[in-house]
Amino acid sequence: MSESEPSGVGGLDLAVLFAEDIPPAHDTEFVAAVVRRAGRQRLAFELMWSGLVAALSALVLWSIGPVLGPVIKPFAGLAAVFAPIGLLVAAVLFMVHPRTAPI
Amino acid sequence: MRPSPEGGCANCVEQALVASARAGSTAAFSALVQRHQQAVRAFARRLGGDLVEADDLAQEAFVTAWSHLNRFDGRASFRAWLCGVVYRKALTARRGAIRGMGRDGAYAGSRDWGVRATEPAAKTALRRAMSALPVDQRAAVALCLAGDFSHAEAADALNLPLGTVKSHVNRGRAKLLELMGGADV
Repeated sequence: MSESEPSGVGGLDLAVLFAEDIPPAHDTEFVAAVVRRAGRQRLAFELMWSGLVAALSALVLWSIGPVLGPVIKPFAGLAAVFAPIGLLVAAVLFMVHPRTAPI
Repeated sequence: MRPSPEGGCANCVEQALVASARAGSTAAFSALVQRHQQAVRAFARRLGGDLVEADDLAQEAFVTAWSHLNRFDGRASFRAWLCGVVYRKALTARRGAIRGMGRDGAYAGSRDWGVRATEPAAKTALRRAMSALPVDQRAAVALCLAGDFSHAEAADALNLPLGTVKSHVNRGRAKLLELMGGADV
């Protein structure tokens, strides 16, 4: 990590000319834009993945439905209890997971 | 501006941030972007294109880097690895001309991009001379002559042999000298 390069060319100091290209050391606007962009990309990926899992689950349920139907019918009323609990757990996981937690 | 290898403590902080970002921490990722945005954006600007495109390229590189952090093995510096991502993104963009697809409109619209309209003649000449260099030579010059990368760090970033980087820098300097006129100093 030590070889040095003279930056002068043709009487011009490249380092000086190139220094005009150097952005500020702290640029919160740029950082925020990167995080927004990463968030959008991650959300799109998560939605795509969730959709795929949902579609596969639906396919599996559809294929084994006739077998499961008589078994789960007596528990159908529990859906009203477990659905909100499931949503609550998902919301908590979303808030505490490092990928999705607020900064 | 010569290479300044990061000291032990700074390196520890960086390693901790990389580990947290790898685990999915947005805050750690933001801190890494803040630490390296200056070097990465400067490199992107020197590779060519306008300021909007350069910042767009840098943003895309950061986002890609986050999703591929598991590929960072720590042999090279994190800064060199990020610049390598920028370089490969630039090569891909040249081939596919797909820049701007994921551009952050709010960011691009909020900045003042009119800097280059008033740049001095020497700067314009340098930009033209740089754009005349082959892209790998331009990247080596941008890192070693304009930036503060050592040959070894640039070789890591560009994934090129050390000798090739040295050759690119020497030939790039000679070409710049030829295109801009004057004697080497």
